[in-house]
Amino acid sequence: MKSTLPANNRIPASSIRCVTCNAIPPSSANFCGICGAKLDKRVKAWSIGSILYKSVLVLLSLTAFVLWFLSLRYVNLQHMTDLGLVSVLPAPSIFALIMLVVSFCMALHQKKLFEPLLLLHLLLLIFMLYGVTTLVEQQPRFSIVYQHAGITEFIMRTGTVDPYLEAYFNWPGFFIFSAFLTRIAGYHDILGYATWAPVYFNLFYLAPLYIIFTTATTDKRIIWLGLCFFYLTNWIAQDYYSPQGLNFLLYLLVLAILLKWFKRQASVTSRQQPTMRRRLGRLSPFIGSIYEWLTAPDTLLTPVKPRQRRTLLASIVVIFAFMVFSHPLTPFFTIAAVTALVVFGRITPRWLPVLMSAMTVAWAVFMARPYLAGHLAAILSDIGQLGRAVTSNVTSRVVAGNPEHILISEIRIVMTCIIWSLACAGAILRLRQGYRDVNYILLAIVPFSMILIQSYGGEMLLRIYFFTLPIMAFFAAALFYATPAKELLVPTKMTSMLRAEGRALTGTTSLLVKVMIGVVSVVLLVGFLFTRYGNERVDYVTNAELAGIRHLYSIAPTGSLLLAGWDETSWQFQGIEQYRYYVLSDDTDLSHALITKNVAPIVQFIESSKTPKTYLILTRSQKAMAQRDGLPPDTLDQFEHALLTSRKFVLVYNNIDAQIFLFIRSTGK
Amino acid sequence: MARKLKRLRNYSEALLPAEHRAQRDKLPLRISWSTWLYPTMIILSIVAASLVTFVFSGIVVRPFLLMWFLFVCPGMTVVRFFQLNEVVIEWLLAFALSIALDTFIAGILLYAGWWSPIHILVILIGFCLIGAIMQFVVIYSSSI
Repeated sequence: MKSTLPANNRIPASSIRCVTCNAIPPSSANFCGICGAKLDKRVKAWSIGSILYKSVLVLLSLTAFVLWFLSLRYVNLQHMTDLGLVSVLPAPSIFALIMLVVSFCMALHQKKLFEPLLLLHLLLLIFMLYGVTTLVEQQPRFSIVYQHAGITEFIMRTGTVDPYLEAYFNWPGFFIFSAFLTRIAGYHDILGYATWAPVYFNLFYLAPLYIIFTTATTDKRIIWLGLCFFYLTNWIAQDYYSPQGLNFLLYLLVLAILLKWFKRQASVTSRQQPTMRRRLGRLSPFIGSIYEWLTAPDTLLTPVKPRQRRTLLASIVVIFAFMVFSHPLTPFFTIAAVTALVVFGRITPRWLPVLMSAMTVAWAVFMARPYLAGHLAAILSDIGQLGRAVTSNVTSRVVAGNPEHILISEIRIVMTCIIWSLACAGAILRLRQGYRDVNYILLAIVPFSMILIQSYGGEMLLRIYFFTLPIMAFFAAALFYATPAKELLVPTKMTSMLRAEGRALTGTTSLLVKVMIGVVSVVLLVGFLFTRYGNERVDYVTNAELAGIRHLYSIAPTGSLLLAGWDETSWQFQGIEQYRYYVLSDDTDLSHALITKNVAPIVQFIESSKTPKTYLILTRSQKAMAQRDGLPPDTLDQFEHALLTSRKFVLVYNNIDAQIFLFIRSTGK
Repeated sequence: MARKLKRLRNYSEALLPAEHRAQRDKLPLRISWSTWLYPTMIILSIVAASLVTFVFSGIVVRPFLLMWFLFVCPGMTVVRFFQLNEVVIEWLLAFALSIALDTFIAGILLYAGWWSPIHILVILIGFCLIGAIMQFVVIYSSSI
């Protein structure tokens, strides 16, 4: 076939651009060859009006940022209630966030989409939503970050891992990297750079999310609104300095590569499809049509050379090897997603999930054996226990705690239902309009299968929410822009292949839809402030708390028993193997003794432990946690008084947020 | 202008018949200023990382320069051979592969009982140096 293209295969640039997909068509074209939308030649790239409009939006977004930043000076964390950070955020900071989201929605509905402007809004939004705690709090939030600091410190100090000491050492990749990075960069510990983890992890998520969304649609408005929805609903807080925060990025990257370059070609699927469809159609026409839908060739294929394909596959294997090395859960989500895509013939090669499974099993059998030996029975007993998983993941979280905490838990459920409902409606609408989103529907459904395998200590549903969120955000955004898939009006080789992606010919959105998008975005934003930072009173760590715990390490000799009154103590960041740690609230009897201010059972427990010295520490976070769990606000204060009056404990350190007691052994025995 | 040209190239890529694409794919590497940029950047990063580690170890910018080297260079050394022509994917892959390579080398030394951050860095520097030199060789042989 003779090509009609110029000899150099280049098409002359035109001054117009497709308002729907931003492609630059030839100057003679009336329709976009990529998405099929009618080209509006009256829309000039840089008219005075559009420049003014863009300038206003830039100013609006920067004003929102400055207003937000200045208002943070008035945040007083000591006044925080169990509603979380929102209870101390000044009104101007919330107004600034709303202003930014509204500005983003306005930028989304320009006649000619200007992506750098949308990117600016999104970058500011990420910084404002995820960096706020770093700016207003004194130390990295979450007690678990301090434990991660301790694991890293152990590797830095000893140059080894001890799989029998901590479960983390069975998947130590992330911590080995942290130890190397911390030591070589000249840091003392990870706390210096871990505090910004939510900001940089979320910034890194942006690029793979963008690539995943571009493999699903050419409509840039869906892509950018989907990205915005993702950041407005990512309240799970798995993006702190942790293996799962990094592994989620790698999971997104693997999916992005597979969906961009490894979709099955139409020629490959079409050979067997008619025969199988006929056979299944004889059984049931419905099954036949489902099969046809599931195996229909994909649109938006990206050309790839065989050499590139091989190198990209090798990269996926290397990245997956790091996942297996560094986190127990993410490889299973990745295998589930890749297997579903392969089983339904959406991607190649078919051996990829087999190789991934083999790598995961090999690591578990040979390297994580110490963990499996101690937990295999518990892991196996969880399989198929759906009722127990739902109870530990949902019911126990909603009914436990004080009224404010229960309200936060209920808001989280409502916000989850909202984003899932929007996504469900969006997916159904696109389905009815003729789009074939098989890949993305599979990716949205498959993670739910994990709850049948594990409850993951009551956290599995949270992880499922996190892993399905990108696709849910995409479908939720698509609800507002889904228009009938039409036969493209310029039939070329490429456009006929892309016909399922035909977009609205005008590329315009009604006023009602624009208002709806604004309202939904603001609702998600307000919900985010409650859902993400609802536990902040417990999660934040003050300088005084950390000073208290550092003092504890400076006075406690090796081998001491370190006791905490309640959960959420920011300790174990040094010498994790040198001390015995115990939290009184982990034991029912000791917890009851603490609540009833009965010191005798605690004394009995300490004396039976036979450690040279015992220290008991009470901190602000513990008191906040006890109160959140439904205890009266002064429970730990009264317990503190009971300790002193028992004459078995002596106060050896005291500051505003931390008290350390030394246990005095009876000399008579 | 460069972005316009890139969009135009993507547009023409979509319309280019498969047989033309296959012919074009057999052509040698296209040399542009960015082809030289990446190996040069890796070499400069190696020099900077070596200086702040072994000579000026107390300098304030040490964490930033070493993080730049560890997060970008080992991966970029490999990724440039893929010839993806997609900047975002190239940088993302470089970041992911850098972390993976850093960790694998550190992990091998740790499990072998030879844990030493300096030795890990030296191995990574050597790896990047060889990769950058190979990139120069490939570019040079393509340009003549």
